[in-house]
Amino acid sequence: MLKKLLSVFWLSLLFIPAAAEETDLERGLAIATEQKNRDRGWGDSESNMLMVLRTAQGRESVRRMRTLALEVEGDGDKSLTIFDEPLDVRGSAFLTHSHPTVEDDQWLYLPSVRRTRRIASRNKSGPFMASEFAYEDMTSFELEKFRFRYLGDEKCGELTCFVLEQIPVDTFSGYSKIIAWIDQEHYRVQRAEYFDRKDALLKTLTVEDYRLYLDQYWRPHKLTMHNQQTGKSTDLILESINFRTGRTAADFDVAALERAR
Amino acid sequence: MACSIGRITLLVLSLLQCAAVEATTERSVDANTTLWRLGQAVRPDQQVTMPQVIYALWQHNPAAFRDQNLHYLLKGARLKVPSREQMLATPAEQAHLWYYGELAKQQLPTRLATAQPAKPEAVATALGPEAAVAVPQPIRPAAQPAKPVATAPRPAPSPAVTPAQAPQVASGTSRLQQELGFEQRFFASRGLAAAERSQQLLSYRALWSYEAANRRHQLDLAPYLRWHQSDSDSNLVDLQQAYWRYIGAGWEFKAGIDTLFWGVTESQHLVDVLNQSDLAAGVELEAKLGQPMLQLRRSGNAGTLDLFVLPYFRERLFPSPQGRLSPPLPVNHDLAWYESSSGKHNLDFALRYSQRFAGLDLGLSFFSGNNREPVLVPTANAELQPRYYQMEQYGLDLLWVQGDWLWKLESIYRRSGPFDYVAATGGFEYTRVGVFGQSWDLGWIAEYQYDSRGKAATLPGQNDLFFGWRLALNDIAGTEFLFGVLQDLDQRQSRSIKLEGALRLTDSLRLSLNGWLFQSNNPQDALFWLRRDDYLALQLTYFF
Repeated sequence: MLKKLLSVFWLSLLFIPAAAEETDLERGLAIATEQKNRDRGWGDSESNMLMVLRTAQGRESVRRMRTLALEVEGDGDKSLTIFDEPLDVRGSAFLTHSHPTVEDDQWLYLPSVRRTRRIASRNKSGPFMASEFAYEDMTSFELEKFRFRYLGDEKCGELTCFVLEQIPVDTFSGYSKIIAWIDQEHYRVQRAEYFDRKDALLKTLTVEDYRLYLDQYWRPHKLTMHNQQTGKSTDLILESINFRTGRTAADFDVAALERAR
Repeated sequence: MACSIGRITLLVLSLLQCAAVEATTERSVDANTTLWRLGQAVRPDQQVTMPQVIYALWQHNPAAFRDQNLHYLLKGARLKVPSREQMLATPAEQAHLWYYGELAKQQLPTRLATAQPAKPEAVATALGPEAAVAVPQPIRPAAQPAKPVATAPRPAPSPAVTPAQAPQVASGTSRLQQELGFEQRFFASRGLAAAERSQQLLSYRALWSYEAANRRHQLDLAPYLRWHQSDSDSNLVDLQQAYWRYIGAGWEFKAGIDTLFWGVTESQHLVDVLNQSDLAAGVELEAKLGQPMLQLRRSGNAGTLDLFVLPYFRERLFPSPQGRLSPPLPVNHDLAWYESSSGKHNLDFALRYSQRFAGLDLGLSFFSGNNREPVLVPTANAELQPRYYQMEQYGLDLLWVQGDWLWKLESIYRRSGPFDYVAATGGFEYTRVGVFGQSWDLGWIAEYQYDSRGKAATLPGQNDLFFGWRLALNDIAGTEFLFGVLQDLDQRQSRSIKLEGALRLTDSLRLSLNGWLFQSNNPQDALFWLRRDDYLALQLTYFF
């Protein structure tokens, strides 16, 4: 009897590698789920942002915008971005209703012709405002958009991070995978590496200056995206952010886009 | 045994009932509760604003907050959920102002809080990190009448503690943007009226907008001035926008002058009839004149409905033959004839309904009043008389998003004076991202234009095909091009070709290029009169 039990024990050991594989996926999803859960309940926000675009030669160019965001339970978030600089696009407003599994709905309001245009949004790999951030980097983080795998723990600065592999589910994504370093204390992305469709390193993201809001939500005030293939880089600087300003879904309706100022 | 089962069942039932009752009238606070989340959970519907919910919760549960401070929600407290009526008892505007005041008070402590050890009894706070400063002499909210603006403000904290906590008087925001344009046009030949080959235009445009702090009131003022070096008929002083708008919950009202756009297609805008076109600005028919109006909008889950009353009519502007890109004879506006006995003061009426169904956008519209497009009748004095007939138009516009494809359709049925016809424009726009190994976007546009009047149509697009390519380089200069060909399918020799391009020179200077070729050998064709007006224009716009 004891012998039989022992043989079962040994047999079960044989299955451990497969089980470990399973655990890495489960653990990856668990980390991402915790990351998402910690960011629930913020309601709505208004922020002022600055983008500094830098060429490989170091020439700089500045973009300014204001973003309103609304958390949507059970669907992707909504966001409305109004551009302030460069001055020739001032007043243009970009509205996104993001969705976890289907294509986002996007509209662009052009004040010069007072026209709201719908945008075909299947392919979000294009650059946002000529920066090193792609449209897909700017949309809300949803669990359904990726398959996750836990790769291990690593030091990241003074913190210890989970290393998480994210494989986009969307075949129109510009990335084959993203490796993210997420700190274990607060589940904040500290840095990330983006790999292109040929599996070559395309961009690296470093995230700095996290500040705590509403005693609960961490927001980074500086994100730097470096294109490793072209040498260009973009700083995305969050100048200010206010939460729970009383915005409702009505402010993110297409019909309200033309009154964005 | 049977009895005890019965008792247990009863017990379970009564427990369930208790739970159900609790879910609707009471909420308890645990470590994960924030007042905002709780408010979201108990908010009855969209008619009640979040500040109203938060205010009612705060007002009806004085014991749930330490020192009645909104920022200190006590752990383990049980909050009574006020009724919808109680929430609505405080006008949305007052609740909003009160809420803003509370929000302003917690702006500074946001940073201080991280340095402060958390108070043991205060859990995740309602509006932000707990205030690092003790709030002096709070007023018991429940004992006060429901006037948050009058009752809620607490004594101002002493400046020595934190000056940033002084109550902020919420004021509106105003914005001003202006642009100055210089355009140089070069024509290929001297034209039918032997006009000059070179023309200069100057233009000024501004938009001043104001939004009240409560975001209910909006004012817009947008003047537009244009000066044409060789054609006084092309000069213009216009108000593109000059209105006041009130935004309510689910509805809005606008009074004043505005310029609006209806429709989806690129090569022609059939549905878009609210504003008069400004032909002197260019043959594209994209420029318009401001239209005086009263607009009432109702929007909700069932779609958006707009009602317009248009009390005054703007006549169409035409350049003179000297100004080129014009009808063959000068238009004499003094001879303008109206079918309506009220003339320019005819009370026009319009209605538009729009709704979205997943990837499909639908628009239905109706217009009744002075036709914006006059019939031009030659007089004995070699002039053209504009005749404005009454018009009734039913319009439909559809847009369907399918991956990288946008399918578009605009169709109208119009009854006006001698005409009773159907017209339509339909086609697609397909965009590819990252073409030629660059981060460029290339869009393909194809549209078919139909008009049941055939050759009697007053616009070029009666049986025409439009092909266009739009290229955006996605570079720092924002470089983009559009190339399009409109080919008449009835007359092989009739076509127009346009080229547009633009790029940013500095952050406040944009250079654009605009060119047209017109080809036609049929005097019945609207394009025939433009056949010697091929031109290229360079425009420099300074934004400030």
